[in-house]
Amino acid sequence: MSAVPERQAQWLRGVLDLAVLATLDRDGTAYGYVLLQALDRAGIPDLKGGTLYPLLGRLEADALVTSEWRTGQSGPARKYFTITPAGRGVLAEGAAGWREFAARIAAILADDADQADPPGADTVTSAPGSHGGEDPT
Amino acid sequence: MNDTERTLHQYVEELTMRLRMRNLPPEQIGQVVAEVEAHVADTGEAPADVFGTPQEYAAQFADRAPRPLRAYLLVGALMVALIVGPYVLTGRAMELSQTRGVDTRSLLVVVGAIVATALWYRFAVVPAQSAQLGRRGRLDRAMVAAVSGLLVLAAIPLAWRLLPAGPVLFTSTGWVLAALLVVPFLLVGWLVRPPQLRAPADPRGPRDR
Repeated sequence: MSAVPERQAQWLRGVLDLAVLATLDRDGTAYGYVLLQALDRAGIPDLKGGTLYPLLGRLEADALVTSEWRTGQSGPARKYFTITPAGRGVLAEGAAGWREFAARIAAILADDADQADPPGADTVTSAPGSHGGEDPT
Repeated sequence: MNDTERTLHQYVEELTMRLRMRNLPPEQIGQVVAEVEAHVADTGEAPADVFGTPQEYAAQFADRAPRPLRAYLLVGALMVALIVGPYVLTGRAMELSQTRGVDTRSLLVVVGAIVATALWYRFAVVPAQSAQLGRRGRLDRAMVAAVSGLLVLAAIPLAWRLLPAGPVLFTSTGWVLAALLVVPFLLVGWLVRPPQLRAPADPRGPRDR
């Protein structure tokens, strides 16, 4: 069973490219396994190589990242990815869009929570056992 | 070769074949395979656990392969070019506008040729591309496909010679007949298309497993 609930996996599909671009923007050049580790540390555990590598290929095809094969002192060659200026543009635009979208949804969900509360109840609620995870913003 | 290396070797071999069947350029196949090898070397994980089965992983790259419809339109255009081309090249294009009759022999030979070609493709060409075969096995199957293909090719004029010319069933111009020839060919080709042309490309982009 994946540690990421199905609903979060669905959310992730829409923003995984931005998360990868943001990680590359912050960490600089990285190869697939390092990116997986960085995303794991950032709160996206259990992301599979079968998802990440094709995504990196698509980002490269769209010229949002560039790649370079480098051979290390030991082990096989690795493909290092670097974000391009076009990638930074897409990241900036996508991050702004996500913040706006997430704020709207948060407001809708807050309204819903208010209505669900019995009259006179404290409006600041927390959902026990919620899978909401971290604040996306 | 230990178990891990053997598993990776088998995985990579099948993945390569699956990507070839999806018409990915060789250099891109090399890169996909190298990424798998590097990742497994880094993590020691079983490739199928990380990437899914070779078939599933290859399907992630479906959007870069020719779409079935485009492939069939290309085959249709090629067929029209093969039928019409000789007339145009020899300066006899006007003959295609002339009305000609189609008798029972012509119809039988054409239908037989289409069915035989479709069966040959499905049962001789497609199995030769199987990922389960080794290099030697693929070579053997390719030989079988080549020989059976030549037999199908030789059977067409032979059937024409052996069958008696029957009564004319209908008349039409060469252009219309060429089009009528292509439609059933594409229809039968569609029915016997191999599995890799059956799964549509996933438009959703990255998928989490």
